[in-house]
This record gives sequence, C-alpha cells and structure tokens, in this order.
Amino acid sequence: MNDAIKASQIFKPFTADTLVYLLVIVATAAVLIFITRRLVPWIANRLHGKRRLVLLAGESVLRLLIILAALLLCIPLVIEPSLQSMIAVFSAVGLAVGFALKDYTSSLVAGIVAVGEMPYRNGDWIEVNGVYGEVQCVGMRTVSIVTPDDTMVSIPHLKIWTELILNANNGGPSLQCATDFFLHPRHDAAQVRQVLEDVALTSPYLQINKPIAVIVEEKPWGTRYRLRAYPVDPRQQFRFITDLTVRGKAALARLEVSFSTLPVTMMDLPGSEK
Amino acid sequence: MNKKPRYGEDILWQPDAPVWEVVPLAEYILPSFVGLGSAVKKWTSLQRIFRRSSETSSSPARSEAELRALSQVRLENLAPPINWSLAARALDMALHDWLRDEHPEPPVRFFIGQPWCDYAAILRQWAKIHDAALIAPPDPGQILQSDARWVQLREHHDRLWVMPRLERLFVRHADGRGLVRDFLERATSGSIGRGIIGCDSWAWAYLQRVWPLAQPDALTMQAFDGEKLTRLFACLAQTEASEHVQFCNAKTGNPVLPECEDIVQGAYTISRELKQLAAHCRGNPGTAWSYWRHRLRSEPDVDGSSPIPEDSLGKKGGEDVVWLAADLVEPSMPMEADEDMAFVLHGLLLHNGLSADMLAEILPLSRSWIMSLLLRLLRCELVSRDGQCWHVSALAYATVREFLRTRDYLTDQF
Repeated sequence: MNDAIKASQIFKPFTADTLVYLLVIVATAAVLIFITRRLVPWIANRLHGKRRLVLLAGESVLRLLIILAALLLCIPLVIEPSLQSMIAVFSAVGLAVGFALKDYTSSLVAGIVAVGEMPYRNGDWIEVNGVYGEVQCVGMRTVSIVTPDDTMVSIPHLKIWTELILNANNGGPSLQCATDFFLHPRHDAAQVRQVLEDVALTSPYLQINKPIAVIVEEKPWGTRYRLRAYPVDPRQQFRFITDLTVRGKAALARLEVSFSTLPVTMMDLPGSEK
Repeated sequence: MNKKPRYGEDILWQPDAPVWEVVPLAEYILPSFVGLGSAVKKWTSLQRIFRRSSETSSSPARSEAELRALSQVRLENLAPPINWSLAARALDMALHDWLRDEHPEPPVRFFIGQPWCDYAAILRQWAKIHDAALIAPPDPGQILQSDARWVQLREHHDRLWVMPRLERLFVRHADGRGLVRDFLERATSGSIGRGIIGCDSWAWAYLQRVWPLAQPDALTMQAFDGEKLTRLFACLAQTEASEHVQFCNAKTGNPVLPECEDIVQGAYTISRELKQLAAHCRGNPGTAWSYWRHRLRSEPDVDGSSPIPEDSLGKKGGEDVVWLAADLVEPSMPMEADEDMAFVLHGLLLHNGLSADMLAEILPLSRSWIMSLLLRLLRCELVSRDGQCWHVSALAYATVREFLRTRDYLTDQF
C-alpha cells in the first residue's frame, strides 16, 4: 500500500493523452533526427574545406540537442517533476541499466562525451585499434567509419576510455600524407631531397600553403626518404600519395638513382619498424 | 546632326586622378560592392551550390529579351579593345626613379598583371619607348630540359631588357622549374643587367612558393573601380561612328555612362552598374571590358536599314541608345564539376593558358580525358581556345576563381 502510494507520487497517471503526447514527441524527434542525418551531410558535401567539416561536425551536436529536448519534454509527462521523484527514478533506472547493460550504457555516455569533447567528428580521418577511415557518423552508441577499402566499421564509443584515438585532421582540412621512397645508399642525398620537394610542388593535389618536408633516414638496407606534404582536401590523401609516388619514381628514375629492392621482405617481417 | 567634340585620352589622363596607375602590389585596393551587392553575390553563390542541374542563369526580363546583342562592327566602334599604351606610360612614371639610378637596387623590377589584362602588351610598349631588348620565352622542350644555353644567352646584357611573360618560363612539372629558377637567380643578382619582368598574378603566386622572392617593390596596375571604368568605357566609346550614343540600363532606363564633356569637367556621377561591375571583376579592367561588351544591347534592326520609326529604334532625344543588360550573365560551373575539372582550370590559370599536350604532362590525367574535359568546359563557355592554347575565358574568370578559392586551391592575391 505504502509502495503504491510512493509510486503514484513519483509517476503521473498514464492516460491515453499522455501516450499520444509521448508518441508525438518521439516521432517528431525521430523525424528531426532523420532529416538532420540526411540534410546536413547533403549540404556539407556541397561545400568544401573547413566549412564542410564544421557542418558535418554540427550534425551530431544537433542530434544530441534534439534527443535532450525530447527527453525534457517526455519526462514531465510521465514523472512528477519534483527533485525527490527525479532522484528516485534516475537512481532506480541507473542501477538497473548499470548492471544489466553496462557496456551499452558506457558507450552511450561516451557518445555524449564524444560529442562534447570531440575526439572525432564527422569528416575526420581517425584510427582506432589499427582501423583507419573517415568518420561518417557519430551515433549515440558507436562511431561509423569508412575505410579506404569502402568497408563500414562501427566502433563503440567506449573505446575512448581505453584506446588511443588517432585523428589525422582533427576537424580541419589539413591532413599530412607521407610517401616513402627506398633508395640504394649510393646517391647524392641532397639532390634527391631537392627533387622530392620539387615533386611535391608539381602535384595538383598539393595544398601549397602548407609545409613540405623530406625526412631522410639511413637504414642497413639503404636510404629511406619520407616525403611529407598536405593535400588540398583530406579525401584526396590516397590519390595524393599515389600521384607523389608516380611522379617521384619518374623523377628519381631520370636521376638514375637505384631503388632499394632488398628491404621489401625485411619491411614486411612482423615486428619490423614501420 | 551635331558632332560631339572628341576628348581623346584626356579622359584617361587627368593628372590628379589618372585612370592608369601603377602601384606596389601591397597597395592594390579591391573595389567594394555597393549596397546589397555583396549579399546578392553571396546569395547567387549559395544558389549555385544547391542547383541540381547545369541550367544557365535566370532568363532576362521580357524587355531585355527583345533586345539584341550588338553586331561585331558596332561593338568595335562602341567598345573597341583597350589601348594599353597609356598603361605603359603609367608604368614608365612608376619606374622613373629606378631608371635614372645608375646602379639601381634591385636591378630587376617585377610587373604583375591579372588574367586578361594584357601586361605583356604594356611591357612591349614600354620596351619600345626605351628601346629595351625583349626576351622571347623558350619553347616547352627547352623548359623541360632546363636548357642552360637559353639562360646563358641572356648574360651580359648591356641593354635594358624586358621579359614580358615569366609564366612562359616554367611548367608545373618536376623538370619544369629549373629554367625559371636559374633565370630568376641571375636576374635578381643583376648578372644579366637591368630589366623588367612581367608575370601573371597566378603564376606569381605559385612562383612565390617555388622560388621565394621577397619583392616588396613588385608593381601592378591599380584596381579599376567604378570611376575608372566609367572613364575608360567613355573613352573607348568615343569614335566617329558613335556620335551621341547614350548608354542606358535596359531595366531602369537610367544612363550608365556620362557624357565625355561631363567627365572632363568633373560633373558626373558614377553609375551603380559600373561600381558593381568593378567590384565583381575585382578591379580587373580586362574582364570588366569583356562583361561590358557582352552586356551591350540594341533594339532590333538598329543596325540595319529598317523602315521602323526612329523612336522605336532606340533613339532618345535624337541620340542613339545602347542598352546595358541589367543582369550580369556569366557562364556557371557545371554541376558535375569535380576534382579533374578543378585541376584543368587551375593548371590553365597557373600557366596563363596551356595546350592539351602540356596539360597532359603536368596533370595525372590522360590526354584524351583532358581533351574531353576541355571540350565540356568549352561548351559551358568556361574556357576558350586560341590555336593550341586553352585559356579560362574572360567572362568565366570570376566564376572559376571563386570555384577554386572555395575548394582551397592556390589563387592569386588580387
């Protein structure tokens, strides 16, 4: 009897009107989320550079706001809006969900943190647990990324508690690409370095206002050149690396520099340095 | 019919406010939009983003649709090509002190011009005035081979020299920049004597990265604002065949260009149309002139011998009326404009025009694909062809520049 009284103090009487209101709110929120998910990327993909990325990142924030607004509208319909009843309900729900769906809840909370702290946003290029790709959607529980092989990978947000999240462009259009060239050690390194810098300057993919660097490393099997430069758009990164490789090989061949052939198998050995 | 007095180039050469003015690059003042012009421009670009197909701009008002483009002969009378000789005079004035100095520092001056502003013609005129040697650019084969002989031939010049088009000294290719570097090194160190180098603004922006040149003394033509365009177009319209021609806005009927005598007396107002045109063209007189010619309209049959009464033939108070189309119609980028198209357009602008063969050398695209892109761009009037050389067309320049700028490609600084 006492429990029944307490429950009636916490919950409002559930009428048909309440049900209709709840359905309308949930349906509206679902429609708004659906529209946001379609419309924002549609507009963003017609823009370029920073504007595109800012708009893409805004989509998950907008969705979170819609969900929060829906919750704020729904809760007073079901629960008496007093501090006492709120604490009682949330404690009970938190306890139940915390035990039964620990990982799921953790992912949901991490999803809210991900929207706030932005370790990744839509349009970012991230690597989690060795999986690299472009963030397509920061959902409530998972982040969906598309790998260069056009495979969609869903990663639970709870990874942000334990794993390293590598973000290559961090919400901006600048994404550094590295192109490797492996040469036989007998050559004029200064000349090769100059040629590789020139190669980067000739690529139409190059973001010319960003720095170009050539890192030279001597290895037991030869000399490794790493050409670092930025493409105009992060989505061009693989075409950019391909273009640099093609141009670089052609330019180095004209210099009559020998390419290193031995390290190919060595590099592929497990545990070898990348 | 009374003949109006001809003022010749007095309109362009008023000592207190010359139309042709050569200034350091940093002093270039971009004309600004008037009133809602800037908002209208942003709205137009927003519409372009969301347009589904490559339809052309909205159809003109009915009254404008009834007007006809001017015949070639009439265009040549009312808006003949710009005479760049006065610009050469302005350049000469800007270089006066440098020329008088026996050991000038720097030994070389740069003159940067925008696309469709014939800076090479200005420099050729200037070279003629000073009997300076004109340096012809190497052929593409010499550029790709970094032919040292070409540079050595330029050594020990006692004469003043002019290199009108520096952009013809390089291609964006791994082997295509050696020559320009050698030349710039020798030129800026003074080993080939005193000279002037002309360069396209896009090539200049690129060369700043290839061979960084700290050139605070580099010169350029000051931007053409509404006032300068008014005086330029009024001067161009002064021909024997164009007596008492009035230029009016086709939508409002308001005069667009004042009378020459009013300009000489300083009693004139600058029309909104020309201010907007100057802002749209970013002060580039070459593209502004192309828009001007493109927008001029006449009543039907005004060119022929029609029995239609004079009033309906565009005669207003005994004067010929030439109408200026109210809308600034220009080619728009096709909806399918992608990365490859951007590469082609950017390549054309960086080199101030290239052949399809050279584009195939510098881009990661096959020649046949480049040709197909060029032909599509030609159909959209975004590029034009001059023999083997392709250019971004004058009327499309603003559109293409905006297209590349919004995609973060390197643009010129104007």
